[in-house]
Amino acid sequence: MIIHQPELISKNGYTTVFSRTEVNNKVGFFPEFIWYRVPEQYGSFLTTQSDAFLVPGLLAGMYFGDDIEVRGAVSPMLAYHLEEYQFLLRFQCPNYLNHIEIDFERLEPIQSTCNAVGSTFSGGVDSLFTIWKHLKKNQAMPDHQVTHGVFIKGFDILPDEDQHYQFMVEKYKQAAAQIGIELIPLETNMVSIIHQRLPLTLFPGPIIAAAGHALAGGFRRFFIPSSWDYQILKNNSSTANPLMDRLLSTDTLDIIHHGSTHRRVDKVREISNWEIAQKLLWVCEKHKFEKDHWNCSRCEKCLRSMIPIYTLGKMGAFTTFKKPLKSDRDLLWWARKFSPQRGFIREIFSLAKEHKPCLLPWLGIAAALGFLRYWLVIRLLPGSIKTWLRRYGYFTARNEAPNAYEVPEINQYIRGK
Amino acid sequence: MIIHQPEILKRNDDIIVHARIELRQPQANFPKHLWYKIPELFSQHISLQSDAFVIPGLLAGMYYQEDIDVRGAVSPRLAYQLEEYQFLLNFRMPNMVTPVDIKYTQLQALQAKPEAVGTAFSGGVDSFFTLWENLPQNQPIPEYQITHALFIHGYDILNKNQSKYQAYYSRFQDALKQIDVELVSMETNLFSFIAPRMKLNLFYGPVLIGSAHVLGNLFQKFFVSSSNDYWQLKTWTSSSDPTSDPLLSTETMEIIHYGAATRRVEKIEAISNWKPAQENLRVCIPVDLEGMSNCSRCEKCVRTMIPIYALGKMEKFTTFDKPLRSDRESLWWARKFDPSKYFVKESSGGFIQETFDFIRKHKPTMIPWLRMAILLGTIRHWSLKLIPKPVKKWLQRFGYFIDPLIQDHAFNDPEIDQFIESSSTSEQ
Repeated sequence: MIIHQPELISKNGYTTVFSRTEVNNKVGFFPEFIWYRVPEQYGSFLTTQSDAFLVPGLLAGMYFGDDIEVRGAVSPMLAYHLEEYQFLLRFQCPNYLNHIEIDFERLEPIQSTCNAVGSTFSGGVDSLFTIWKHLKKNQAMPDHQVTHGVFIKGFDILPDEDQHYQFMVEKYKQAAAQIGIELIPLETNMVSIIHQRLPLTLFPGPIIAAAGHALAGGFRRFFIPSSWDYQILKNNSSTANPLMDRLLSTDTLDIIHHGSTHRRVDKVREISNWEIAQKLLWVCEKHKFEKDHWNCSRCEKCLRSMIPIYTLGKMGAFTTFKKPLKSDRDLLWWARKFSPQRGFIREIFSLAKEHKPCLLPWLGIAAALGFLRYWLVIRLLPGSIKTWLRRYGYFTARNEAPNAYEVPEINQYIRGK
Repeated sequence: MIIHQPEILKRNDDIIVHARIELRQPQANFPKHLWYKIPELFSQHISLQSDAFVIPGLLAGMYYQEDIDVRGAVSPRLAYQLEEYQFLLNFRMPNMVTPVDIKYTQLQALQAKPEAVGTAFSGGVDSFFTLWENLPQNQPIPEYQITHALFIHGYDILNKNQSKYQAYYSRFQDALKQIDVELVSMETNLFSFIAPRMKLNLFYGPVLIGSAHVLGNLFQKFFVSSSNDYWQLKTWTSSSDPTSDPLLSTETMEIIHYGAATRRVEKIEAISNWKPAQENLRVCIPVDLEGMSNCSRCEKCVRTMIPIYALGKMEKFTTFDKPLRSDRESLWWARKFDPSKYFVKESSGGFIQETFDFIRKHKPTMIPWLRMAILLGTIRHWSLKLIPKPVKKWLQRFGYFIDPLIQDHAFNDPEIDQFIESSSTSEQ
């Protein structure tokens, strides 16, 4: 696999950095270019360093078993740690990837002094918690105070959801301005590299870290909010964790996986009195984006977020849920999309025990019904029936098209450059 | 707990960097000062930041549940990360240490541009492996090629064993000179903070890294060799691993926990043709043993000799008193066999799986002897466990069941303490 020297283009108010990628053993759709695009005012954050292309490119190289040749500059620190990073990718998620060799044309760090501190900003519990913890008023170390939030299009929001994305960008920009940080909307197609090859839920780490690398011309520190705490990480495999994300740091960019020290319910508790979180929280898996209510309130993640909010007596303050929980009995909705796979169940019970013990019977019933539903509908339902049900919209995903993460006009203007 | 501003004293040809430590609730046998003794030759590399004192001091604070007041400059990056570090120590060893608040008088990064790449060096398999992998012939990235090795006195050689340390120092110095690595000698009483209170094998990480921070003007990178690999870390717990050690990095020094991706038998194989390792390997456990060779009978000696013997390299490794000479001699494994090191929940975790896989590949004729050794060793281990306490106590008068680490001044040098008390300005 060859990762060519990245190039910059400024056009139509946007600056794009792209690199041509060539794969020897590819099967199926593979993007011709990997690119990142930001509004022109943030163009100086983009660099022609190859780090942002090598990190996600590594996943493709390892998937195809294709050694990588990088035809641009790579940070020596990143290059050094990629050996252990490759080991850990395979250790955490065996059977997906091969070990490969990487040939670096040039090892040199970015030659600039960067001062900004970034964090991804998706509007979810984890990112709001990370930002909350690194606001001036909560973070005593000035060089760890967040100055910029990065909202990515092309990760959990697809390119064809542009209208929704722009809607959220406006909301987030206003909120960011209120807390004295800037919002950088970043568009990218890097998920195309692994799409339909590797499960994004297992391999989000390199993808999110690469967003930080793309903006390394401005950032000296980049926070990746943790999805899982140390307790969950002990028993589950993920490529996004405090150990692995740190290995993707460069000589000029400190990557910090933040928040694994806190359980999700503790994060909800910490942000539950913060007005920005109350007016902004977006956790929904359904992506319906109704005006003022962008959380469907019925998907697994909406309920997993609403239950602690309700338990803490803050449901009224959180305005982004379409159907907020109004009574203890409403907790039974948890059963509808209940997933026993991740370790969030115990912490929800602990929180209820501490703050609102009268919820425990309802939670117990919801969990029991949820388990039953999960095994009958998700696990034991024959594949053929699942396939048949797809025609009615069940068991489908938003990103099923092979090029779901591509934007043809951006590829076109890169080609025409 | 107060960690006072570090100070420097000169004593003969050495420099002593020390900080006074005050506990709010005084404790018996708790050292009044933390100190590091370094040859004067390295005086320009010494950092007077409090980083080297807050890291080990934190353990004492967490153990006694005393909030910490640091009266010297601490790296902001380190200070930021100590919160997560404390969480991890408590997460892993919840019954031993509790998070505390730390108050910093001054948060300031070291104003220096250190250039050297250091590694903690004990002469064991892990540290030889780290050194080998990061020598110019094996490590193409110049920024990670090791230039200095730090050999600490007061860690696995007790402070009172001066002559043993000196002998090893001379030997290692000669060996490392041949590969252009400078050996730095350092003595410290850091372990006297920990030894009678916490388990050394769980809390050695902060000690090694604290020692590196004293030479903050020297090291831009510092390697800590892993004792446990990633398979073992799934089950075993320690203060030193690839997740926690880098949290002790500062703006000017990157701490790298190295080698957890490689199993111990693979490390032995990697260094088995390397002359400096063959002639200087030091793995022997008994810390108070005088002499310069490996006893060849303790658990670690035998665990190391078995793969060396299987590779057919036994005669090349000249530091073993009684090297294995036949398959049958691997029965010595039984003598100090500790099942807890070998059998763990994860099937691939302990040393047993890797040892058997390795032997099966390189010398399958040893397998029956190893199986027998394990059987006998397990019986022996449990028989010892069942000996009643009074009998064990009685046997102590004959030298059995004595922990050398809890003897008086095992990890301290009273002369240096006295010197600090008489010379330090903070004592005035």
